[in-house]
Amino acid sequence: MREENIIELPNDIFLKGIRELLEEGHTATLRVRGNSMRPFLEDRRDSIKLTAVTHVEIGDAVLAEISPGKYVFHRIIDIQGEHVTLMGDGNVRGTEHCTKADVKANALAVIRKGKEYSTEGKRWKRYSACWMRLSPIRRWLLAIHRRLPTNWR
Amino acid sequence: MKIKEGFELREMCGENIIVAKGIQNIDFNKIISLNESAAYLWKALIGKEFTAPSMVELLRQEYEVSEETALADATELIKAWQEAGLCE
Repeated sequence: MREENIIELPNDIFLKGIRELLEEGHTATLRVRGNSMRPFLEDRRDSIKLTAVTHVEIGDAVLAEISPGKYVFHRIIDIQGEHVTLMGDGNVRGTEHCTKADVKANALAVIRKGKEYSTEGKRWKRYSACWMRLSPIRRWLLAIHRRLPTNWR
Repeated sequence: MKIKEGFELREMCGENIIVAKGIQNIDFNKIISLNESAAYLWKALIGKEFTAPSMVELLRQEYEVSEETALADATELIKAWQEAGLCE
């Protein structure tokens, strides 16, 4: 009756449930899906630890509801008044837009290869600053990253 | 045997999950979920002393199963709950 397995749920339903937990004051660790936060986070391997939104600033990796029921965990690259622009670290083009109120959660930590990095910590901050600065050559860096053996990523 | 205090069964997106009260972080990589019959037993037994035979009785009130099947399921469930540290 008890099985150790992986339950996959549609994002819209699952993340709505997660939001309820966050609003109750919990934090939640969940595995990432997709490669849009490469090179740091790898699909189905790495996790993020979320907390209900506390701040909305450029450079923050956040969970945002970009249209009803559609969520992304991407980085804020621009804020103009209430208007927020997001982009995945692993994306070379394609941004998402929402308002500050649509930002639902901040990442407290990212868990890469089983190791937890606080988003307040030096390592993540240094990586974030570097990666944002490297955006003009991101396309080539990601192309190299894609060709790396899985265990090097 | 008794379900330990401090655990809460909650429904999330159609799954029955066990959440430890007072635990700040809920790690979905390590979550315990219960199927329908296990969740039914959990709700019926929480706060009460129980044994495998009392589980069998509850299962047979709700589902059409033979005594042997129910006993096998109950024994397996108790073992799983003990291993997960949910009952004592």
